[in-house]
Amino acid sequence: MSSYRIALIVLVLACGGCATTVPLPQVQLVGKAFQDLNSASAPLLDDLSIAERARGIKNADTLARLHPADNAAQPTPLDPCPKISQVKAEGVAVQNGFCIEHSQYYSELTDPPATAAFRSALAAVEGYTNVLLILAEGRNLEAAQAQVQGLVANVGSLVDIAKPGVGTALAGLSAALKPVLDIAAKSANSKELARIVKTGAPDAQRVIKELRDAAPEMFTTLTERSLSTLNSLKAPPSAETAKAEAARINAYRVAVSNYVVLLGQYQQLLDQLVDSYDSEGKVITLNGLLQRSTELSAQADAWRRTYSALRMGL
Amino acid sequence: MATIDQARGEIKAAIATLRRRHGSTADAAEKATIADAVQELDDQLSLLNQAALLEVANSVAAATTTLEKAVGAARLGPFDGYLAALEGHLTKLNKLAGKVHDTDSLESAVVKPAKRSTKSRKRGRKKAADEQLESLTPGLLTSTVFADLAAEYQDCFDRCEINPAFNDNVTFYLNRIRRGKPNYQLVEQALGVPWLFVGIIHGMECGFNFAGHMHNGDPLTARTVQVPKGFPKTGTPPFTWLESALDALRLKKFDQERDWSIPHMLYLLEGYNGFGYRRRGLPSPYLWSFSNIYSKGKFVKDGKFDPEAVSKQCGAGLMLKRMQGG
Repeated sequence: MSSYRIALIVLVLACGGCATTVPLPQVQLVGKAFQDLNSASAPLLDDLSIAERARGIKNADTLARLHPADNAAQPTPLDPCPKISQVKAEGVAVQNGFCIEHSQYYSELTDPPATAAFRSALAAVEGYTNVLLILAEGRNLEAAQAQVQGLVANVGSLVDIAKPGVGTALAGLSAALKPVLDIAAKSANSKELARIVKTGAPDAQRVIKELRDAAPEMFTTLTERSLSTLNSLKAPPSAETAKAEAARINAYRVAVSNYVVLLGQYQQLLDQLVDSYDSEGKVITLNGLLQRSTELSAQADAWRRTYSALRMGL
Repeated sequence: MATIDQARGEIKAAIATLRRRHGSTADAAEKATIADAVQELDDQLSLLNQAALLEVANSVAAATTTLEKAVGAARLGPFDGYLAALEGHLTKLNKLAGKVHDTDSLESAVVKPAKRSTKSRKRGRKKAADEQLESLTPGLLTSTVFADLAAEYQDCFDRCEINPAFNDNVTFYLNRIRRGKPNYQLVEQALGVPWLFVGIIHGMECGFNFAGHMHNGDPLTARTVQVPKGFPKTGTPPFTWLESALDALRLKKFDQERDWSIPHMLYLLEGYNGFGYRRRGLPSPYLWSFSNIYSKGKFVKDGKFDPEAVSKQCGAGLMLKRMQGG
């Protein structure tokens, strides 16, 4: 168990059963949940990127092969370049044109479209989680304070040059304002945190739900080549190959399942954070959150082990 | 998605049927045909899988866009509500102090033109600028034509020395110009107006306040409300300082100037404040205050001239000379 995790648990236990104005421990648990989700998702999305790209290239060839040579067909979303067909010579087939829409599969500069969308979604959830953390931990206050204090100092020095002696009277302005700014800034942070939790959480939850709903298609993409190998009658797999492909499919089933579970855990922690604001005046316990967090970490560890085995072809 | 799912379901069922037939038939030709058909169906399935993945990805992307907007709307600067008001007070203090001239700024020295006939008014501004001012006292040339004044500007510039009593004050102005140089250079890049000229105008007219319009120092959060009112005419508030500066300098047609020699810059600067001092044969404090060229006399409110009043604002010509190493 990492020292970070121990510190977090100590922090949570220390605050267990207590109500807080700014629910810092809850927010930190949500932040940690995202870290677990994100670090575990990255290798799965890497694999998805490879699988989606390979399928896109294969399908571009399939479409070109199926296109009639008379160039009569009209573009559709599923078949954006119907005028491209195949040229065959000496047993070699090649597409006779360039399809811009397919370049997102051929290019290795970025992820193919669906993988890119999933990564962007996780980045948006990360952005949201970071905003919660920044507000709860007050990481934005120091810069803001410096800005105001700089403004105050500037006023003092300028006035002193213009009207000697007057600046001295303003010298105490900075010190006098500091406690006012401290309280006001923290209060502003607390209010903004409450607002962003209440208004932003439904959007974050929707992204999580869409990612969960996309999981079956992720699985289909990740396993399509293995299933195709198993289905092939033209080049039937050997017993050893069939066994390996079946193992691969089952391993991806576990990996995607873990991904779904981690998404769900994050969502539940976010739900509990929202509940903590809805239960104004009630005592908020963190014991449930802590349990969730521990489960989440265990799931993330399990996924990493599963994934490691998958990568090694076990 | 439902259509794609139905199609995929049928294709999978067809593949299963063909595989069963493949297993039961003894006809080699039929087996080969079935194998080709399964391959074709598998390719079709792959196309549908690709379409299905893109469809769910689109749903994810739509949800992502909404979340990104929510995150983008988060206020991480704790200056909402009364903190914003507090910041506003400080900004105004800054502006007042920076200007130095809540009471010290130089009033306009624009000479009211004599009444002219409609016909002569139509001759336009250029003609008016060529007029000779009626001299009230001997001293500097009263012409407002640059060709007449160029040598005089150069002479004043060469003779100009800082009054040692104002060393600190002048240093303050120069430091503010240097600090603002990156912003002034952006203006130079856009309009071709030398950054030093921009900085001097900014100091003379706005007290180096980057939170206010270059036109008159009004807040950038809205169009100007004082004279000149309603600027910038285009764009949507709040404006950036750069947007405002470009608009203000274009309004003065500085973007159309090509002669940025010292005498011509001095001519433009004096014209910015007005040629009223020339009518009295006096050097303009707008150019020469805090230097040996100027001692006293300035326009106070309502266009009245007070011969004993002394400008407390650093002259633009002196700033120009010091910034050029003089």
